[in-house]
Amino acid sequence: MIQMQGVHKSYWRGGTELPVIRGIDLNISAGEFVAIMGPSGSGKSTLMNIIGCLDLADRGDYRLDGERVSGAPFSRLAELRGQTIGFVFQSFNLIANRSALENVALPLLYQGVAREERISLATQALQRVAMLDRASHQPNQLSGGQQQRVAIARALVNRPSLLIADEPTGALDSRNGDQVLQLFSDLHKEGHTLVMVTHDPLIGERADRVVMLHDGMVV
Amino acid sequence: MNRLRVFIELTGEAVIALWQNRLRSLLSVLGIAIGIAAVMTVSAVSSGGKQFVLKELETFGLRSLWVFRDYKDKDPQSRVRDSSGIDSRDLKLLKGACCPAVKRLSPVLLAANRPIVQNGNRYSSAQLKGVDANYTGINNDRLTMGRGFRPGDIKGRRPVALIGETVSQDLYPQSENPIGRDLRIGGRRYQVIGVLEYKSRDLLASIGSDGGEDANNRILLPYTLVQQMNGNQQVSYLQAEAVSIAKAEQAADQLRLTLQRRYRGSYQYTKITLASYLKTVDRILGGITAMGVVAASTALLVGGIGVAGIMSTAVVERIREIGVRMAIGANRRHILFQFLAEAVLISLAGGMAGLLFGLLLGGTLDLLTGFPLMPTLSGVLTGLIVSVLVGLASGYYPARRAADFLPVEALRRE
Repeated sequence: MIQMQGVHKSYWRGGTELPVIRGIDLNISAGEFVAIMGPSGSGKSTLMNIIGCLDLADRGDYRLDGERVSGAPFSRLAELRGQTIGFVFQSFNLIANRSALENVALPLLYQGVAREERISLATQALQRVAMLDRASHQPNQLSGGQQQRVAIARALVNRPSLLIADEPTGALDSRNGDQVLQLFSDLHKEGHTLVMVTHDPLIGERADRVVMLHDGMVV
Repeated sequence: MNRLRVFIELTGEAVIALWQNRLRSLLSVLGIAIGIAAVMTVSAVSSGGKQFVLKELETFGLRSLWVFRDYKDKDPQSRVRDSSGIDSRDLKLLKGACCPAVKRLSPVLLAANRPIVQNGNRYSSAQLKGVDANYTGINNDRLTMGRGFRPGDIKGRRPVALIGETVSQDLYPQSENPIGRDLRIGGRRYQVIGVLEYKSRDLLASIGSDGGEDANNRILLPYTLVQQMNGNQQVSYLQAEAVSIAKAEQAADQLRLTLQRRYRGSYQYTKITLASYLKTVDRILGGITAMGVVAASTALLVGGIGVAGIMSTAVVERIREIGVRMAIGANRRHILFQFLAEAVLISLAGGMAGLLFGLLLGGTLDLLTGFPLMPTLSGVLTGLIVSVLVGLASGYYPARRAADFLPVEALRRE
């Protein structure tokens, strides 16, 4: 599913180059649950963003489902994000002043799905994360765990082949975190490819494979 | 089809975003509305002003033209120095095939000396004019009572008169109907057969009324009688109506050049057309309008800058939302479109509010001053199109900025 070779990424601060990813080779097969771990500053999130087509590698080759992502036009990257990838953030990133249902339905809007079908698919996705009873609540009326489940429903609504989560339990207490984690485990069992950034070793244990990063390289 | 649906739905997203910031949206709408209302009012005033002037000119017959001897001409033999250069024999020629652009023609004679005009012990200072049966039609004179001249009155030199409003008031008591009554001109008795309708002199007192004379203080007589009074066959000048406003100059030249050829250079002739006044009026109004439009456009520009400011703020505030939308599949065009739609909706709403406000203002002014403010359909359409353009212009830069973020950059901003 994911093939990376010699991927480099640097950030520029005040004229000096800060290398964040320094030559990563990584292969992830369909249906795998891979945890990406490492100390802060090791480049986990940057790698995650490149995998999720939110950011672009400076150098190296990245293929998603065999398609070359590096060098693809922006519009194609947007299509990949909208159709192939579901992204879950640490800070949920729900749109304020919109109901849970509207948030979950939003990705479908960009795919040109008709309104009735958007609502029906979003309802199914909310049901999948057991949040249907809160469909009309706005994000600020939901607990952190609830918000994250809505965010997972939003990531699922386009039936993506790849789920990417960046420290999805990082902002949650342990009880809510466990619930969210259980949800990810179930999704993995249903056949989703799952890539998760975490620094929690307990989560690492649940994954099929742990990729350890240090200073922008796989250890 | 699906793509079109995305953009329709994004317009809905723009509406929601504007509604969530209602106060702010309303204030930007107001800025545009004031600008559009200003532009509307200026264009309404200018088109209303034109109507107003046209109406004034129309009372003198818009297709009217005058041809008369140019007294600066040279007559080397000093033969006919005193002549007006036009006489009764010329009229037959001029009414013929020479002048196809002329619809109708009337000689005009001014009395050589000013005879006393009286009815018993009431006197009038009216100007006497000898004309033929065409004259009232050419000059757009209407009658409030009685009848106009008939060809028989002219040919038969019948002592009949048409009198102006002022003359009627001077010579007859208010309670009396002047029709059929007598008046005396230089001792000779005339019968009043018609009273000329009042002509406004508010704006253009001097135009088309022989150098500032009062159109309401006139007595029209058959020109044949005035010739008799003057003791010769001369005609003071010609007044004619062209077949159309556009042909007025041509008609005047046809008359002028026919006369010039006939007298082989003994006389020069000159002309005046109302159409040429019309051009002057157009130029003056055009200048005034241009100044007004510049002032009003400044108001609109300020409104547009306001929208640009609001949209820039919105982009900064919602940068994270932009990142999220990108992360779930929005491409640059989607982001650009949504923010552009917000800007255009604001200014379109402003445009419509401004038009409404402009109409109300115009209507009120019309009621208060009687000055007709005419909002034209093209003016309304222009207002709407301009407001859409203002929205596009002021929204483009902020929207472009929003769309050009990499998703990761937008998500990282707080």
